[in-house]
Amino acid sequence: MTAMDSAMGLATMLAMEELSSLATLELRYDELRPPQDEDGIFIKSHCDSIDDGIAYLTSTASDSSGIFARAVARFILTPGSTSFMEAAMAAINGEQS
Amino acid sequence: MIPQSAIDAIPYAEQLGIKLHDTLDSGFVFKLEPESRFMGNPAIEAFHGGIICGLMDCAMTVTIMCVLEKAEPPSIINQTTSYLGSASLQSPVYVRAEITKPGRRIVGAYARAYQDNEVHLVAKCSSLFKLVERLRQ
Repeated sequence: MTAMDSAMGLATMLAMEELSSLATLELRYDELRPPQDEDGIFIKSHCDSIDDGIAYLTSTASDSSGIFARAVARFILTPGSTSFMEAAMAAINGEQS
Repeated sequence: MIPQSAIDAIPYAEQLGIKLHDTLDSGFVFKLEPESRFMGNPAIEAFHGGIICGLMDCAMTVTIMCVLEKAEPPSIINQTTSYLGSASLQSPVYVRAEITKPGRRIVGAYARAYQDNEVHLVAKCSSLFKLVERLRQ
């Protein structure tokens, strides 16, 4: 669930046209079956739409046997100077220097 | 089962560092201390939303195990989480988890996450869990 929230946040960042801060509004999660322990998991996230500052996302998580969970989320975007992206970039640049 | 034993039975709960904070008539209150690894938004130094929903998931699982006296963690069927505000990394997050429907096979649970003021919720969620059935000897 944590990984799917992160993946959908990253999908929103890639889909948005201007740098914005984003926060999860709602996350609905369905677990079809427990994931298998021995394999890593893959998460596929898709930003279906960004409309009026709200991003709508769908996501699936799969292991070697197929999809084991799905999620639907809404994120709110807040364009502004103290954006998440700028702070993240500043943190990355700070680490590199 | 005591809550700490149930937390120890769930590797993710143990890894997060969830602690029991209070025992209520209807459930439990758990506490998660802020750590830099939980940061979601560096601009406002807030907890990541995924940590909050994972915390509520663990809190409900532990509550079900303790209240219904189950040795095995129940498996989650679905969870609907509403995020109502940002959770600052300056103070701990508390989660109050309660059982709403103690069924024989399906259990409904509800959790509320807050920080300094119990009235100002950070997030709330409701979930359904399936109890793990033990094979009869």
